[in-house]
Amino acid sequence: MDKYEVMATKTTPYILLDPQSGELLLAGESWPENAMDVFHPLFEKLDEYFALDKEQLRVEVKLDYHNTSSQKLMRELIFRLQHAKDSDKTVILNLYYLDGDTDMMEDWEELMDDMSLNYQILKRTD
Amino acid sequence: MFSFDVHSIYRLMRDNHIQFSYKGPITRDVLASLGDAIKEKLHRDDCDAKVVRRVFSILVESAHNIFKYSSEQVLSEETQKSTGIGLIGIGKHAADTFVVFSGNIVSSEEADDIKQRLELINSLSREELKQSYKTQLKSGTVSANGGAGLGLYEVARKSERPIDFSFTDLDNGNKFFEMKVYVKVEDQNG
Repeated sequence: MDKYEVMATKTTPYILLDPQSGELLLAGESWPENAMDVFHPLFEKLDEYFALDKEQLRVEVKLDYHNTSSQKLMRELIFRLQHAKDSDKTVILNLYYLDGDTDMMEDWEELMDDMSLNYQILKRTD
Repeated sequence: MFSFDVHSIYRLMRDNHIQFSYKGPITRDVLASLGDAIKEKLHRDDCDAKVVRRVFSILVESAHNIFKYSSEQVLSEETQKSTGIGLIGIGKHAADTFVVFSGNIVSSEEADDIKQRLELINSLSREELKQSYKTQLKSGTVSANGGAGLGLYEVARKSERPIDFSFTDLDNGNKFFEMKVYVKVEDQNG
């Protein structure tokens, strides 16, 4: 599979799913009219990735801001990661927040509330 | 012909400390420009980053409500999708309080639904609100138009409560829905 890369716009995030390095990166802002337009193509690529003989995926989420509909789809993303983990893949998940953005930190805590997937919520230093 | 004077709009905005207001189709480009303008303005005023983010977030969720639920719709040229018409804006309610206001026309059925949801949200304690948000986040799926049913909860979570709202009856049976949301400058600590 090819590298999947989507450039950021004012309302949609930068997305990179690199099968070479085994990394998924989300960065920037996510508040499109319809968050499904952003996440559903990514979900298809993730399915493709997990169908490969890859053992690991590292997920780095460095969003500055995301709206509620994006948060809902982040949850669907986490479900997919959880499913991959349950199928014996190693998933490393790092959710970042900007220094002082306790609202975002809480968003991530709520997102992961009832998940058994290992994750870290980290303060961004970039 | 035009029967208004610009000065009256100027005075209305000045006297009510309205920093900006927009009325029209709430397209993605409009929203992105408004977002930039607000962030820049609030940063220039030396506003706490957390307040800027909250005001911005409330603006986004309010605007998304308009383009999904407004009964006045136009076809957006950028996306070839239908977009709601409404009014959104930001002002200073007091020295330490911002107000994000929005208004749009809704059907009477939609009005009943919004009223019920806002009354419920206004009746919840902070802790109950947090729980309800979580329940809503975990249940159901995103609707075809991208709605997650979380917008009003998010608005409530990030503002002083209660959320101020009202409906005005219009001639054709529709209602004008308006909402004012207050954000305090000092940290509310959730």
